[in-house]
Amino acid sequence: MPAKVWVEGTLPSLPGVAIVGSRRSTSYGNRVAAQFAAAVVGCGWPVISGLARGIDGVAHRACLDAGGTGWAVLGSGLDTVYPKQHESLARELIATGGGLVSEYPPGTPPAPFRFPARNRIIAALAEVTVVIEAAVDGGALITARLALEMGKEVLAVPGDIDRPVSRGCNLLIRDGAHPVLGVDDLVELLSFALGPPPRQLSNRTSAQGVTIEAALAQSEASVGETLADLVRRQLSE
Amino acid sequence: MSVAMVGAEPRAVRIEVHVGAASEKFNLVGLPDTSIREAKQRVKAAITSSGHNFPHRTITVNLAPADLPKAGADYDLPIALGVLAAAKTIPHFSRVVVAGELALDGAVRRSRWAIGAGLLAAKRGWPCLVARSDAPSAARVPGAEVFGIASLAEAVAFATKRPEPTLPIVHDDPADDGIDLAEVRGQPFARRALEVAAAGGHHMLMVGSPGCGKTMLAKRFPALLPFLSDQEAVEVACLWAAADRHRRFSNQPPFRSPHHSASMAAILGGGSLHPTPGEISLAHHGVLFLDELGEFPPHLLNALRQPLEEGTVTIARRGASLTFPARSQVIAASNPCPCGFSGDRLVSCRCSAAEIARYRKRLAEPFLDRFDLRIAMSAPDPDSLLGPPGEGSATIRLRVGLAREKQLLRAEGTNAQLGRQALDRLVYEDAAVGLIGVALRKGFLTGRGADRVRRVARTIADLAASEQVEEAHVAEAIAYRSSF
Repeated sequence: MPAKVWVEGTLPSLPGVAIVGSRRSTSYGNRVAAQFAAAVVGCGWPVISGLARGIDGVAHRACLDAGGTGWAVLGSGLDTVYPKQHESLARELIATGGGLVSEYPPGTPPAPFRFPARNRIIAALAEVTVVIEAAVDGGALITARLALEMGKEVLAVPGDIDRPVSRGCNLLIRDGAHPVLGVDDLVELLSFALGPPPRQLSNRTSAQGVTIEAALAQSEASVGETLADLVRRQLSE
Repeated sequence: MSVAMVGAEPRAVRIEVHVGAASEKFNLVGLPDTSIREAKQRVKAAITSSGHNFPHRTITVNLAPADLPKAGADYDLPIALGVLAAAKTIPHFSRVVVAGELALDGAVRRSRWAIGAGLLAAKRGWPCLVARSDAPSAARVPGAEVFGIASLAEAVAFATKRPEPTLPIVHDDPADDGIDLAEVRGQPFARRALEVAAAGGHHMLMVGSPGCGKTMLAKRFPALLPFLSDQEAVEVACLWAAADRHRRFSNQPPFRSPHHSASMAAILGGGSLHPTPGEISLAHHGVLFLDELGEFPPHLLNALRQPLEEGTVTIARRGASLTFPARSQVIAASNPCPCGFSGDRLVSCRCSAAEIARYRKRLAEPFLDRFDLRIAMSAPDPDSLLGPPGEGSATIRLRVGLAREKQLLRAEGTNAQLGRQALDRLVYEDAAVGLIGVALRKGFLTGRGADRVRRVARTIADLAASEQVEEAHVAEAIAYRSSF
């Protein structure tokens, strides 16, 4: 364990869920990461990740878009966000009640050997680690191994067997990690590990698209009234 | 007197004819183009065919003002009448607006500028002579006294004794072009949004996967709009004439749907010598449908922003600039991503995250902001496709008409056109203001979005015949601010 850590913002007060994965993610991975992050946040749990390109960034972004709080663990000093494009993401994490965590003093530049090391902090901060996409030699797999060593739950999303970036996840599943087959599955598995969700998963897209049509189909009231109702419900959440 | 068009504005052209010494010469001055120069042959043949003598003298025809370039065969008839008057075959002829092309046998053909002639005549309070087939529509110009004639001989007769003026065509609108909103089954959300958009004149954007009915709904949108007043219909007819497009004179709001490969000039208007109106002006008082909005080049969408806001488009040319009216209502449709299936329930999307990001970036926020209503659509519920047909366009148009009347009593234009001050004068229930505040704090709305919501909420209140904008109206308006 590190002797000390630097924190900007706050530290999570609830058990968190780490969503990690490859920097070279595919559109499939990104989509799943975004859905999962939104679902985790929708249940009221914080999302923890590494602010890297690919899955990490997508998970942080989706978490913020869904109005949740999240934490990022950096492999550099808190004054150097890497990659640079994620600086605004880092600022938003702090501004929305989450924070940044690092074991390196300010001024430490990012370096490849520091990233696997910060993974153990991610694994430690989170109660459950969800691996979305990982190559066999990727950092996400390191996080998963460390989490297992700490006796924490690891979930993995299955992928194509012939795609390098899916191989890590499939290996994890073969070795005993729980496969996650969808958002409902995820919420169920998380409630086993973390207890009942702090709040019910509400569909945040309810003011648009599919759920609107469903609401209109069920409602006896006029279209306008039903829409007004949906908006009221959403705003009072 | 005849008429020339500058842009879509009619300008008077005075036809002066002088008959001089005996010799066969025909001079035409006053910046005529080739089609007018050829008038000589047509006029000569028509006069002879009508049983009159073409004077064997030096004839000089001046089209005044001399510095205004003139084009088209519409000056044939006034020139012929001028020649006959100058040769004293018929009495002196002035204070009449005349437009028409002559056939060699003396028949009068239709003129592009018949409506313009009617406008000019109404402005001056003079009678107006146009081809018989043009007369009923020209007579629709409020205040115009129009005489339809079929031949040069009838025009000559007019000079001696005036017949009864042509009556304007009574309503020519069967309104039944075979498409009706009733054919759209399901999609209650989009249908309601269309009604609100029609009632308040709001620009609207629909985003959804291919086949969910965006285009079908948009094509049926004009049928929800109230009929144009005669004044408006005349403006539309002038713009179409200026673009040299044929459109039956109609009180139906025009519907234009330019393809995304259309050039800037085609959409905004252009042309070097005689700038012509573009699609945005052809859709004046009507609907401009932009299908596949994401495929339109960004510079074009940016160029559309100002005309949409101001209701006019200005084309700058060497020496002068022309302004065409362009108060059209934009209905736009877009796929959520290049392949179209991002977020679809049944079909999975084949686009990479980067492709989707690039696609959405094209629909820059400043442009999206112009849409008061933005709705996300999904494929219709299969059950509803087998269900009963939806409500018909005519019923909805009635409600829209009532809501529009309320708006015209309150302000000059529709709710979509309300300026800042007019917007601030609107009365909102306390709870309604509170709800906007909550939406702003929770990040559902931006400042600009809040203004749009206030306008749309006013329209919803008008549809509900409510004096005050209530909380429920605001809540519904917020439902039309989907983010993509």
